[in-house]
Amino acid sequence: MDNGERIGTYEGHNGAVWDIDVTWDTRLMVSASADNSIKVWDVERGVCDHTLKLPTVGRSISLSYSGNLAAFTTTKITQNSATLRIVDLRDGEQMEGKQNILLQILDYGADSCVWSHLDDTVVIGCSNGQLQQFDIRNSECTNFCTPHSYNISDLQISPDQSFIISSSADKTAQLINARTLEPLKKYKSGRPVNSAAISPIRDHIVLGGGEEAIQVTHTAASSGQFEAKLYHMVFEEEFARFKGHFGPINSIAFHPAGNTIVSGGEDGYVRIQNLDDEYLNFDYDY
Amino acid sequence: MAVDIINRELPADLIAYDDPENYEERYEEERLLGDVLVEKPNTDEYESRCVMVFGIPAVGSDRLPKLKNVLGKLFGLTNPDYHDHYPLDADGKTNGYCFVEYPSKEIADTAVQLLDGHVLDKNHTFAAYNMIEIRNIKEPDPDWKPPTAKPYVDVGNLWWWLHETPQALRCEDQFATQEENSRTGNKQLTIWWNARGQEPYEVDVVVDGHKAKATRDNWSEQVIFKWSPEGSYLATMHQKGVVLWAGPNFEKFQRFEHNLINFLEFSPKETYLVTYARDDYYRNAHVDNTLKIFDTFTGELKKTFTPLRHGRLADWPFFKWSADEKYFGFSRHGQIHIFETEHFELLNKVSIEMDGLITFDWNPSKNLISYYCEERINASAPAEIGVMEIPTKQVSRAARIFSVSTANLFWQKAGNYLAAHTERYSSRKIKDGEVKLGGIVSHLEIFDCSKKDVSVQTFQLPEPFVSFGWDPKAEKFCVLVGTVNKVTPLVYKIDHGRPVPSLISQIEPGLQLNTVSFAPQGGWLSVYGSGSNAGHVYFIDTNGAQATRTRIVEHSSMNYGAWDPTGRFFVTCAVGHHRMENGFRIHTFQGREISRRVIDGLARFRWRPRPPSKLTEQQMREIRKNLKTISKKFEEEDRKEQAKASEELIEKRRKIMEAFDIVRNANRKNYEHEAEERFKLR
Repeated sequence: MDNGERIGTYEGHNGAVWDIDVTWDTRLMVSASADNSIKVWDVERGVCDHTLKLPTVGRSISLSYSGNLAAFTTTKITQNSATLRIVDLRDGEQMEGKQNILLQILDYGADSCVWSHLDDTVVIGCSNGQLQQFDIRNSECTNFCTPHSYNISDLQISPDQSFIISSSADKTAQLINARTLEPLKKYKSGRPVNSAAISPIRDHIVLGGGEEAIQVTHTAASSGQFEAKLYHMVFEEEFARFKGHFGPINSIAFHPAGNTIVSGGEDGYVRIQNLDDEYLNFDYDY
Repeated sequence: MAVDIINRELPADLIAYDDPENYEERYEEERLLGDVLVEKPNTDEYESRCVMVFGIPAVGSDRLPKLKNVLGKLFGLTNPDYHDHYPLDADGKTNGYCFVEYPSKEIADTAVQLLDGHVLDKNHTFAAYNMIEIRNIKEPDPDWKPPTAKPYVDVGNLWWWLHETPQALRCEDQFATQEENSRTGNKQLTIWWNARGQEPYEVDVVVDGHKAKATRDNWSEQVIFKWSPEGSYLATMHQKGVVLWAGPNFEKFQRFEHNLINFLEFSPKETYLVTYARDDYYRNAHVDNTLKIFDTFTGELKKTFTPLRHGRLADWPFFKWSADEKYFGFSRHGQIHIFETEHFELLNKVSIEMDGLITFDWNPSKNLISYYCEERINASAPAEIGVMEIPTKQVSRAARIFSVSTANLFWQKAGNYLAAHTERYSSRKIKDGEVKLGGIVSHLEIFDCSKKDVSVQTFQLPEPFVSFGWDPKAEKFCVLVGTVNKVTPLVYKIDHGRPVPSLISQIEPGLQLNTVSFAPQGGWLSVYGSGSNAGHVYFIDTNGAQATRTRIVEHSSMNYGAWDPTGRFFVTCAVGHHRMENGFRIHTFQGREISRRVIDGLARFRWRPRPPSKLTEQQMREIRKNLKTISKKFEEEDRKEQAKASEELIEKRRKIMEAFDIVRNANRKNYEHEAEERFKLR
C-alpha cells in the first residue's frame, strides 16, 4: 500500500478471475473464475487449498459474516442455466459439488452477489436491474426490488450491513436498505457505473465506471479522463472527482480506515488514491 | 332469255330486303367527312389563343378608333397578326375590356405576360388573362363574407422577463435547454433563470390557472428550437410548421404553416421569419414554394421561393439579411441576388454578376456587403476581396491578390472593420491530374470601413491560420494560429499610427483550440477547443495594455460555448454525446465556475437574447457617472439574498438528513440487538 509494490501472486486459475472475497480474519480467500471453478486459498502461504469445479463460468462470489459459507453465481451457457449456489466451505461433500446449502436457478444472470445479513441472507444483482434476496432457511426468493433499468454490475455492503450500494449500466448507483431492500438514494453519473463503495467513516460514496473497451471507439488522445466520483450519501450531490485511469474503472473500494480509495481499471492499472485532510474535514452545512 | 329473267317477279323472301318506306340513307359525318372534320376549329383551341384585357379606358364611339390605334400598337408588339374586338354597350361606349386573338396559344401566352400589369397611364393599369383561365374563374360563393379580423392575441408584455419580475430586479437572464431521451425519443424543453452566483432554477408559469414550471415534453418536436434575435419569442418546430410562444406564461402567439419544415431563421430585428422544407424527392418530386418568408408579428406570408428549381443552394441560412432588414440576398453561380423588403422584389430588378464569386456577407451595422471571388487561373484573373455599398452597388474598395487558395471574411460587429484571411501559395503544380499547392502562408487583410475611403492593411501571420474573432466594439481582434496540438491565441490592436496592427499579447499555446468568442460588450473573450476531448477553455482579458489570460478551464468533450447577452457569464456545454457525459457549466467572465449540471440527454442550450437597450445615450452616461452610489444599494440587496439562500438550503438539507436518520437509526437498533449473534459467528 505504501509504494504500490506487488508482494505476491496467487497462481492457479486458467481463466479470468471475475471476483474474490476474503474472510474477516484474512485467513482464507475465495475466487470465482471463467475457467469454470471456484478456488479456496490460504492467504498467507499463497496456496490453493481447494478447487470446486462448476458447470459454467463462476461470475461472482461472497463470503458470509463468519467466513464459513460462500455464495456464488454462475453464468448461463447453452443448456446450463445461470445459478446462485451457497456452500459450506467446511463440508467436504459440498466442496466436491455433490451437495449445496442452496441451489437456485436464475431467470436472469447475476454478475454480483453479497451476504446482506450475517450468515442468513444473500442479495444478488441481476441483468434486468433487479435485486433479489435469498434466505438459506427458505428455498426461494424472499424479497426483491427493481431499482435499475439495465444490468447491475456491482453490489457492496456497508460495514454495519445497513446499506447496500448497487451500480448499474443505467448510469446510476443506488443506495438500498439492506434489511428491507427499499431503494433510498440515487446517484446520477453521466456514464455507466461499474462499481461503487460506501465510506466506512463518512456519509460518502464513491463510484467509478465508463464503457467496456470494446465499445469505446475512440478513447481520447487526452489520457487520464476516466474519473471516480465522490457523492454525499444522503444529499446525493457530487462534491469531488479524481482522475487518473485511462480506461473504464471496473472495481473500486474504500480502505477500512476510510482515508484511501483503491480502484482497478480496464487500462490494467490498480490505482491507490489517498484522501487528504481537506477531504476528511469537508462537510456540507446543515 | 335475259330480259325475261329481269322482269320476272322477285321471290317472296327477297322482297324482305327492300328498304322500308320512308327510309332515308343516313351516314355519320365522321365516316363521310372524317378527314375534313379534323380540321374543324375547336372552341377550346380557339379560346386558348384569345386574350382578355381588363382596365382599358372606357371611351365613346367617337374616340374608339383612336383607342384602337393606341392599344393596337401595344397588341401588335407581341405579334402583328392579331384580331381585336371591343364589345360596346348600348351607348356605343367600350366597357373597359376587350378581346385580342392571336395566331397561336404560345403567342397569346407571351402577350398575357406583356400586357398583365402594364401601366397605360395614371388611371389605367391592365390586367390580362388567357380566355381559358377566365372560364375557370368560379362564381364567388353567394355566402362569402369578408374575413373577420383575427382578434389580437394578447400574451402580455413580450419583454416581461426584463421588467416587473423579481428576477428582472436581480438581473437574471434566461436560457433554454432541450433534453432528448435516447430510448423513448421524448424531448423536453425547459426554460431556466440563471441565478447569478447560484444554481439555475426553472421558470414558473401559470397554465390554465395553476402554477407550473416552464418545461414541456415535445414542446418542439425536433431537437431544434430558436429564440428570436431580440428574445421576444420562442420558436418551436413541428410537422405542420412553426409556432411562436411569448409572454410570461409562454402562450401561443402565432402559427406559421409549412409542412415538414426543416429549417427556420429570423431576420435580425425579428420582423421576418424564413422557413424552409426540403423538397421531398421520395414522395412527390419537386414541391413548389418550399422557401417561405412570413411577417412575424402579423403571421402574413410575404413571399415564397422555389429554390431547387434553379440548382442547389449553399448551406442554410440561405438568405443573408442587412442589419436594418431593408434588404436580404443570396448568392449562387457567380451572382448575388439582393431583394428589398418593401415589395419583396429583386433590387432594381437585376442581380449582381461576379465571376468566381464564392461568398458574400452583410456588414452587421451598415448596408455594405463584403465579397470574395476566387482567382480564375484560366482567365489570369486574381482573387478579389471587396466591399460594396447597397443599394448603390458601388464598390468602395477591392483588393486583387494573386496566388490565393482560400479566403475567409470576418466583419466586426460595430461594422467598422472587415478582416480577410487569405491563404497564399508560392508554387502550383499539376501532378497526376491533381493540383498541388506549395509554400502556403496565411495573411490577414484589414479593411478600415469607418471612413468613406476604405484603407487596407496587410500582414503575414507567423503560423498557419486556425480561427479569428473581432472585439465587437473596440479596435482589437484575436487570431488563432498554429497546428492542432499547439495553437497560440494572438491578440492585436489596430494602431492608427502604424501600417500594421500591433501585437498586445504573449499567451501560451494550448491544445486543440479552434474557436474565438468575444463577450458581447467586448473586452473579454474566451478561446476554446470545441469538439475536442480535452475541452480547454482560455479566458482572456484584453482591457489592459497587454492582453492576459485569467484562467484555463477544462470541460472535456465540450462542443458548445456561449456568452450570456450581458457578457457576465460564459457557458460551456457538452451536448448530444451518447458515450460521454452531457451537461452544462456556467462560469463567470473570468472563468470561475459557478454551477454545473449533468443532464444525460442534453441536446441543445441557448441563452435568451435581450432586446437592444431602450435607454438614451444621456441616460446611460448618467448611470455611468453615478455608478458607485447606485451600486451600493444593489450590493446590500445581494448580501441579504445570499444569506437567505443559504438559510433555505440549510433548512432543506436538514430535512433530508432527518428523514434518512430515521432509516439509519432503525437499522442501527437491529444491529445492536444482534451483537451476541455476531460474536458467536466470529
